Amino acid sequence: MSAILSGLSLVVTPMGLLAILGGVLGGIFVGVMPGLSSVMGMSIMLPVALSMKGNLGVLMMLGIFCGSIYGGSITAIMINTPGTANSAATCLDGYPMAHKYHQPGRAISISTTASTFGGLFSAIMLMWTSPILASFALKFSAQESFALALFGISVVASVSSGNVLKGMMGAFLGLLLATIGVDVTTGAYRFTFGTVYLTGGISNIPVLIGLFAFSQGLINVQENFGKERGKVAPKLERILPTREDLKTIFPTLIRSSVIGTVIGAIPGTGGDIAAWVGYNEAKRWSKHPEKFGDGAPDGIAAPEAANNAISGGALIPLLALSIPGDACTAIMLGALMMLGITPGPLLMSEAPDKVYMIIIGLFFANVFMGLCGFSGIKLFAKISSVPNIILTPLIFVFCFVGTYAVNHTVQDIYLMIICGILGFFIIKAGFSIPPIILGLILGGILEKNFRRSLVLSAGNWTTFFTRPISCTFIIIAFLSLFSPLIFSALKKRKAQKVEGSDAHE
Amino acid sequence: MRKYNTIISLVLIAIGAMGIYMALNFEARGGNVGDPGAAFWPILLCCGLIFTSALLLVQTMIEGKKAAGPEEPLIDYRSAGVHCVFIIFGIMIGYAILLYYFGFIIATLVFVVCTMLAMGERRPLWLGLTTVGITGFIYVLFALIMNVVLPKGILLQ
Repeated sequence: MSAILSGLSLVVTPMGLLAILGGVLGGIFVGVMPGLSSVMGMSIMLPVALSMKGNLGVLMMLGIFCGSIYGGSITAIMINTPGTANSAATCLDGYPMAHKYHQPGRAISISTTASTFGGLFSAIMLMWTSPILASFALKFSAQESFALALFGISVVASVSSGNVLKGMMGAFLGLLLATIGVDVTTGAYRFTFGTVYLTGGISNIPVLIGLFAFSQGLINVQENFGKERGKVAPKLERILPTREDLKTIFPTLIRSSVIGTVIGAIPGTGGDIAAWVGYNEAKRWSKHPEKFGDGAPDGIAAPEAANNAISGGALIPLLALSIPGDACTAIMLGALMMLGITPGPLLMSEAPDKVYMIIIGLFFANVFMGLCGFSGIKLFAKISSVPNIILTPLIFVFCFVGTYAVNHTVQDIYLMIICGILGFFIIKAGFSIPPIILGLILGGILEKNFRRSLVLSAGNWTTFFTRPISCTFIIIAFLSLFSPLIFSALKKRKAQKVEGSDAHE
Repeated sequence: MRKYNTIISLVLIAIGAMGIYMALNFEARGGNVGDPGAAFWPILLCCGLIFTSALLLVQTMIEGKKAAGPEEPLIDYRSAGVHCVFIIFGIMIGYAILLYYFGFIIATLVFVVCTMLAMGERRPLWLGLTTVGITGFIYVLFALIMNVVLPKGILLQ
């Protein structure tokens, strides 16, 4: 209880609340802009968070995380263009309600209510489950920590890219980047090419900004060149939901919030998957499934509650096990580590106040998100009309200044440009960025625990397989990597057999 | 896609091979008993990178043999959007150099104008207002509110 109160006292300060509010507003701004993703917003704002004193940076990042997920729904409803991939399912019923039935205010009020509910629900779940999971994880030794990190990377590598091989190649590349610099155990210089800049290792920020934000900015330029963004003329009839709507959507809110929290806690998933599963389940359970796709209130509430509930869900493995659930939490992990908070089982026993600060911060971020959503909806709807010609240079300058702000070296900017240009081509070639970033962030932890395990067992390689938890995680990691390859090969063989038998007949 | 897969696979195989070669020459210093040493982990990763890249290469070649005809280009190098991206690549490098020599304000003013021109904006008022607005906004946010040090430029110090 005292830890909760200390966590509360860290959040409920004028500056703390202001940091969350600023983060939420910034997040909504990013979210309403089609083409700007939550990940992009978080990576651009990471240097700003790092420059803030104390825990304010963490609180601001939580605000951006929540706000950006919610912001995407506004453009999904108003112009049928989801601001982020998380809100794609919201278009199905949000846009018809706003335009076919001329009730944009009602659609946005339902989406805001569902988003806030989903976010708060997941924050409560986070508060409940994190200590339990962390106390279990306290029994982990180096072998289990290695196996767990391997599991996290393998899951992300297997699901985030259309091709598992590309995901694995990205993960290997990220892990290899993490080896650059002086080896802490032996003091050997690895891949430094005789430069002082690489002696301390590759800085995460330039790579993060380059791969997530800068490359996405370049892709936006290419895809939207010469295109005009759809104008939004918000004429909202109301900003609060009616009692009837609340009564109708309440069961959906509960169901989708549970779905979002559970999906968020599974590494490698994300808000888009949660939103679609939430939408499908709402349709399946509905008494009027035929109304879905034609402005059904449940069709708006379900994806919005589910995609916002991932915020708390994804933080469960992050805080308890130091395993990020998705790209946003991978950035969050990097931010926390750079701000001196190392998530994992020990954090709960050594600094419980920090854990509760994050949980309570998430709670307040969702409250602010709701308040901002209900009060500033007309403004946010107008923001989405900002033309690309202004937005694009702004994002690029943010990338440059944000990169420079961390270490004050121009070399970081060069690294960011290289990563951004490479990112543009590898995204176009169907590679996914999260495995690279996760490899870079978790690479140090993975190698440290791998070598520590071998030292503890005097070089005995079977140590990873003789411990049940470690062995289980390694088996799951391999299954998650190779099962898609095996299943697709089996499917192809089956299809060939069917084709063969058809031709025979 | 096949062309890019082949190029990327070959590049990553080369990186992996170079990584192994370099790791074999890491300075060996005393570690703990049982520690596989500084080179072991990078070599393991390089082997994994080479193996997965080779698999992708084989997969791409098999798909290429099965494919009926030439595939659609992944990046249309003749499109105006891609031309704009390449121009922006050049502007970025110029911006990084200008930042080093002239500092944030001058470099950003030039960068924003160049980027907007590359994107097809020709209205002088828009160019002027946006340039000053973005530079001012970033300066106020980072330098004045967040107290972040912005590049000063070695020629202006």
